[in-house]
Amino acid sequence: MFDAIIEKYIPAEKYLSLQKQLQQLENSYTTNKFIEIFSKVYMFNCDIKITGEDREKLKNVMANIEFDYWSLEDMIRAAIVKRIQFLPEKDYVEAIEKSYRIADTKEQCSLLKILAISQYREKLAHIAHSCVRTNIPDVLAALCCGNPYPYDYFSTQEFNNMVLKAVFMNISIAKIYGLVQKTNEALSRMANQYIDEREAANRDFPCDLWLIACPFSHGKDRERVYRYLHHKSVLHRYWVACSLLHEEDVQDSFVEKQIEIEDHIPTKEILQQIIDRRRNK
Amino acid sequence: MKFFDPHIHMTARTTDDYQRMVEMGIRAVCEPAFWLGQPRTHAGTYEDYLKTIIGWERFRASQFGIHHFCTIALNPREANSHIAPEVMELLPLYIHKESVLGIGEIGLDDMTSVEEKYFLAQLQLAKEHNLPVIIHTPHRNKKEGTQRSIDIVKEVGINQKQVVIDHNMEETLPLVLEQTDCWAGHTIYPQTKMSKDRMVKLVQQYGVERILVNSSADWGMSDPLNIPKTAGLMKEANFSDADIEKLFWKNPIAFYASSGKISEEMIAEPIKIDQTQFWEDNSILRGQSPVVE
Repeated sequence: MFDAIIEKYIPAEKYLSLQKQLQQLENSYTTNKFIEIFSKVYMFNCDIKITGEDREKLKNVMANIEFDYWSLEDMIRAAIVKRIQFLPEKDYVEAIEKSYRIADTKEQCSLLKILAISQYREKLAHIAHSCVRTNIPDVLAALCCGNPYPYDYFSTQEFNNMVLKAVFMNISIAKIYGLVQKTNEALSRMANQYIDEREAANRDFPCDLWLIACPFSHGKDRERVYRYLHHKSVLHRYWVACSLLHEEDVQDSFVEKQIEIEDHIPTKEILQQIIDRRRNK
Repeated sequence: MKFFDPHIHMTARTTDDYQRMVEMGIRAVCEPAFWLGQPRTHAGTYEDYLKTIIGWERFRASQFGIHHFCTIALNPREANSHIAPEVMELLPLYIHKESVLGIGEIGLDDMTSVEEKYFLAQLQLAKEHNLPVIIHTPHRNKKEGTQRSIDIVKEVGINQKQVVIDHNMEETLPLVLEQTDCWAGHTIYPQTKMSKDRMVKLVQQYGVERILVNSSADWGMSDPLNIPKTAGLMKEANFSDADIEKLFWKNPIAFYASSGKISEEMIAEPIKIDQTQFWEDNSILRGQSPVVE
């Protein structure tokens, strides 16, 4: 599937050259040869934007991956990794580990995105765990944004750690695959404590934090959620509304009051959905 | 006037240097891998050094608008070290990285048989991957060392147009130009190696074809501005702007272009500075207001 997309976007002679290299890799595999082809992907000048239509085609085959976060360069690297699937587990894992160890930032990002479709992916979790210790926003974003790997292979504690790291590195947690499903009481408590700290210092915080702060909240934390539903910042109102959409226990009066005065159409529509859903029940 | 310093060790220099270099028109640099002033004790620290010149140092240069490239190698001095075999295994993993323009600096220093062994092996690696090579020539016994380097280059059969034999003096430059198709490199140092005024005289005598000039500035008493300063002397000596541009801009690009990773078009414009950027959570700023272009 990647091959068909790549063929559309790079010149014919470059595509043929890539295919020739991949064929050679299959015929006489060495880890160094794999790393060479993987490292030289920048030579394809991949600054071309993939159209939405082509991303949809990929999504039809691999529904759980958000290809909006993939570049053509990522796709070429994915095609290269796909071509070494014939390797025995030990050699395959070693090739991915080695290429990650020596990778530059762009290569690391590609590898992290590819993890979710890799062979023996369950054996590669240590790469994803090491990524959570990075301080390079692009690298962490490659693991977090639209990537199902952490959802599938991280423990609750590992997942929580990644989400908090994303918050501190200004990565929008709304982009994290499976965030709503995997949010848990501990994560919600930590998010609320963080909001406490920020409010005490009279500082703002990322508005999509409500996605993890609202679930499991009660008492003063839940009161705060409703307070922010009426906040002057439309982004706070929007993300509080989004977070309440997934909640069973919502006080209608707060929502109805806000619908009447809400002038931001998307937020108003979400609030209406919350009310409609409850009425239908 | 734009300048390209084809051999400079920026990891050893300060941000003040970068600022002065930009002010003087230096737009691109190439940083050959070398030793740290004391021997490394582990191949792992060598690998981290390679990652630094590919990663952090490139970022640091970009923060001042300078294009940063590098060449990687087991340097001649550490060819004699116990870490050499392991370092040699690392090189093929890194030579294909985007900013790695070739192999260097390699060659002879103490002129030992081990140095020769790794010199040959790295020339073979460059030949196999069609990459440019920087050859260091020894400080002591320079003429003999240069001649031996020429002989080894011929023995390996590498494309000589992809080779620069570096740190030439008056007595070695004719050997390189007459016996080979290699480029001849010159290092302008304040006290040793080549001086600015002697360099001008050499160019008056030999012209600018196949000649490269660098500062090789490092952690010793050297001057990263020696390229523009030498260009200034050439101007005073009535060289044309075209000759000066060829020597200090077009020649280094032509030499490294055979890597397939660099062209004049690519580096014609300086990098747009954005000092709000971080690399691994590190900024070059220490409380200053970031410059953003």
